[in-house]
Amino acid sequence: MIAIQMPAATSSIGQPNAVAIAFFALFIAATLGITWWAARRTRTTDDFYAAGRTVTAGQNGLALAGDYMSAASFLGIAGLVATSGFDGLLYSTGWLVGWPVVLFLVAEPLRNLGRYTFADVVAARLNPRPVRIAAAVGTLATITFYLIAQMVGAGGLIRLLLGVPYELAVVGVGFAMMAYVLFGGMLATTWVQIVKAVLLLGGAAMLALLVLAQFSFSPLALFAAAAERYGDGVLAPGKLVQNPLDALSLGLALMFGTAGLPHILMRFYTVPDARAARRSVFFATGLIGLFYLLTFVLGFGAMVLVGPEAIRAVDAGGNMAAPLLAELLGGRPFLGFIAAVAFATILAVVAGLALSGAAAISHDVWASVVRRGEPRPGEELLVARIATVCLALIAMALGVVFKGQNVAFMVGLAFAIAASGNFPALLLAVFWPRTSTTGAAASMVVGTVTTLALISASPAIQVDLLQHDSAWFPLRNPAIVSMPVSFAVGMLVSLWRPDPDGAARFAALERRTLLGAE
Amino acid sequence: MTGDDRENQTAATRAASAHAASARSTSTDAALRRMRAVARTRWRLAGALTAAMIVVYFGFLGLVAWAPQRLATRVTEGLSLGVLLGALVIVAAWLLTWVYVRWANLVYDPMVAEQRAALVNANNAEQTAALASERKPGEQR
Repeated sequence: MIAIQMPAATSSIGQPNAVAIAFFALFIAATLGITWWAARRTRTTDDFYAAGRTVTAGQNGLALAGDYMSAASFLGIAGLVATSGFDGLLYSTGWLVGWPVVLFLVAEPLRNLGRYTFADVVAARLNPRPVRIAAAVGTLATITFYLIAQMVGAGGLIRLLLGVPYELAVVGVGFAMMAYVLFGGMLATTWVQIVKAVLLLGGAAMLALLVLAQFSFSPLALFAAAAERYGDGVLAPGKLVQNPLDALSLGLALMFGTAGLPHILMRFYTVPDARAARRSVFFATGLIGLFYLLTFVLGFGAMVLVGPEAIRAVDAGGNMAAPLLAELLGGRPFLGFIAAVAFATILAVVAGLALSGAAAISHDVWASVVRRGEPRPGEELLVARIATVCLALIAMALGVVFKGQNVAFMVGLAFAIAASGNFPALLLAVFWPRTSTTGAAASMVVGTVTTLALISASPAIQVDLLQHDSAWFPLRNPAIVSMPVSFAVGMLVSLWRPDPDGAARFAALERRTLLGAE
Repeated sequence: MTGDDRENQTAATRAASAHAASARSTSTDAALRRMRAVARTRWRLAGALTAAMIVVYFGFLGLVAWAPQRLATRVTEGLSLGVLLGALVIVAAWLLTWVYVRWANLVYDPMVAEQRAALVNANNAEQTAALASERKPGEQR
């Protein structure tokens, strides 16, 4: 979705914008202030990974929404709706329906069974070492694809919005994220998410109100205007869904991937108990749903008021639809504000990703596997900070290497890995008494590897990237194959290699799922 | 409960406190059984609501994939069936989460609190029985 081209001269997009720079500076100053404040409260591992478990349900709801609503949703969906109408709405709905699944299946068991990472839950009743190594593989694979997508998006968008060179933008984002996570840990990351969520929802709502004001506050009048000008087709499914199986596969990845995203799952440890975890998902679902309903208005508003041709002229992927709309309705100052919101959006998502990646390395691999659950005092925190620096540097390097890749596609792949590598093992561990150590580890490794293999055999890599004539795997998103494979492998291997005391351990786990850690 | 069984077997005073052990396993077993029933109730509802979400979303996707022309139908001026159903998928997600949270707050939380209390009681009874058996092992036999 985000394929960036040089901006046309008709809009001020791409030129340095004083208001945008002022808002950027204000946001950076405010978030670094938060980081300084949080740094003084971040001493223990509990503080670093889980903000001392003092975040309220309302705050965590906002932070979950902040972690989830990426630039791909704000700019990408608005652009897709503006240029292709109804088809863009498929993403709006797909990205929301994962949240009820998170609430029903994983939020509460996660809070009651784990400490810092989702691997804690899978390891709770199984032998920790193999399971944690496998979970770290799944986590890091998911995080890497997600990080690349965000960095590529960040570089391109900041260049378009501010006129800063791509590489400089990527490095700037990398260092800001490093500062938040390194010094402020989860507390700073949480508050960066909250500030960002409020800015994004506020900005999107303001923009939507300005659009609706042109149509006497009736969304139907807006849709009717779109249909009148660009044909009835814009309100019905179009060209995007050509292969039904592909659509179902992407839908599967979006729906179950959310419940396997490490940076989202990690947020459930920041609240005091399972009840707060449950309420925070409820708030997050409300906020995210509201945001996606706003994208209906923003997208069709940009289609009618700015026009698909003008949007494509600035950026072929359509990503500048929302900023162009803001400039048209609120002038350059409002464009500056929306640009700053997009920037804040990327920074916050990237910080959350880096923190969960660092936790996978320091908590799952170092403390639990290398040190067999008994790290020296202060050591785990040190490793987490070193991992943060390494992840930030790797993300910057990959961001530069993968310049020009399609962002929404890469996010879709991150969801596919999460849905196939992480989610099946997590669900089997909390739900199925017979799940064994070997089974869970096999499910995570096979799920992740299958997804990666099918991605590399898909048309996106074989045809689009390598210019081959055909690809032996026909689907662009592999979830419809890789997720069932992961479940099947997890169950079959569990039956083949059961744990000797599996039943007793499951009984203890069931008790903890219900009553919480005692 | 295999865990309890093994604990019982490794207890040195197994023969002496047979009576107390059986008292323990009945009260604790009952508490564990009730707990398992509560957990099953939650999984049942969670499963049903997840299934409902799957039906709603994949039903919508199915219409998009196999009946696109039907979604072009106008409901009123400016509103196609597709756009309406898309918005309704979001509303359905809201409703399902609301149903779950409401059930969990009103029904599940009190059930869990009850289980926690029952388990504490069972543990207390167990300790009393164990104390009694330690005091008068002969009588218990």
